[in-house]
Amino acid sequence: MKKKKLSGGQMVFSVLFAALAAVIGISLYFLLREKPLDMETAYNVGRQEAYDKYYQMAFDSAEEKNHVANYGMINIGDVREMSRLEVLKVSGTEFVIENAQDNDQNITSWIEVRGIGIFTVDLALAQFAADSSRGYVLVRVPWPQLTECRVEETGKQLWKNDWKNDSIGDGVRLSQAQLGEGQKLLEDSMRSSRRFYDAAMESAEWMIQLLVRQWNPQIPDLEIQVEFADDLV
Amino acid sequence: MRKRPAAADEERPAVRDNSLTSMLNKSRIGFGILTIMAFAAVFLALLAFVRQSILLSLIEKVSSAAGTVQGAAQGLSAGGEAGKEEGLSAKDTAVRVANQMETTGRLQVLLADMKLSDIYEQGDSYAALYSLKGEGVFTVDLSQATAIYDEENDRLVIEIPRPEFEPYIDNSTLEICAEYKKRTLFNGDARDGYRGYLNSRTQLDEKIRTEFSEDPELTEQAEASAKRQVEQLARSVCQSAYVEVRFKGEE
Repeated sequence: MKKKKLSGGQMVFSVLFAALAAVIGISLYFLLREKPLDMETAYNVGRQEAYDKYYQMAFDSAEEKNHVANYGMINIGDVREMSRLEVLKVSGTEFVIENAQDNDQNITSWIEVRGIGIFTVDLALAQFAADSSRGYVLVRVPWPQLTECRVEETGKQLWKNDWKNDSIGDGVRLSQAQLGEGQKLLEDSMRSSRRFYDAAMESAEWMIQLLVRQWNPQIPDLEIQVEFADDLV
Repeated sequence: MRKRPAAADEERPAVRDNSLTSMLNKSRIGFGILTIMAFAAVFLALLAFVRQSILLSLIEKVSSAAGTVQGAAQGLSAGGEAGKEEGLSAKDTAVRVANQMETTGRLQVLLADMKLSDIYEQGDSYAALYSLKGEGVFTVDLSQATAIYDEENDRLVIEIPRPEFEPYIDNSTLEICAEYKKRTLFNGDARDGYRGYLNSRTQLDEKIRTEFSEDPELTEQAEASAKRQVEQLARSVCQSAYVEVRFKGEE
């Protein structure tokens, strides 16, 4: 068999082809090696853009659907001047229970209602008797009373409902009823607390003594006695 | 003597050439080697990539999948037991003191009876008009008051802070005057209505507080009452001949 000789052109072509293949191979290696990073970046950018776009779209739609608006108007009735000294601020918590069998919607709602109450002593009814020669003041005041109470906030809630979910109106009415009941429970519990009354009396006595002493700085050893009375109307 | 043919003499090289070019020229092996080298370079490059990214990843994934199956079975069993223990441990327990008290020292100087009427709207499916009663109270913080006695003139000057407003809306006085409910099959969720109303009450209290505190007529009335009530009280208590009450920062 006769052997074929390579021409000069073929040899040059072979060398160039080998070099080209090596360059392509190396480039391909680096290109493919870098690719995962580019893909990751592209993935993250795409994901973030899509998230932002759809988040805003869903947000606007949900906000519009659930938008709660209140147009409140206050009518002021009697306005009167007074001189009631707030002697004790108390806070209380009550649970308002609504079980599924208590309503037609089959809703169970237990809610913690937190509120504050203010005990006051009406100083407009107070009697002051002073004996300057002895440096003695007798202050007779009515017993402290719970005059203000309000629901401050709600805390823990347990909510269970069946598959129907009922309607917004059902929820609003239940919420109103439970807040109203919570307010009554708070008032009753504060009004019936012996501890609060004792603390209110103690605080009233201390506060009145402090006031009388502060407003009579020219009498250093002033003796002040505070008396709670029923006959002050 | 026989003479050799001239043509045979010409074909035979005078000197043997051992260079690469010459060797390649002599056979096709040279071309083949170069081609193989080229393809080998490409192959090696691809292999390096494949080995690094795909093959290893594939092997890892296969190993991982096998491990996942075994790990999942063991993890589910062990985790379930541990989770049950953790869940039943009742660590999620919170206790707070429900009844707390503090002394104040504020003097109520003006009280206003209030009636709040509110149109409540939630989305386009529910609306209600309701009313609540309550009180608004202006108070002066006497614990911030200072008293300066002028011995020469037997005169007591009491400086008090300006009155502040607090609303006390009674939730038990609620009256629903009107109600609108859209007639649709799916009319929202009761829980959304519940939350919407609770948040509304908080917002309304805040707005009432701001609105009343900025009302010039009521504020003026409260300030006048504050001075009067404190002065009257001080006169009853104080042994000095003259008592003056003014707000802090007031000349």
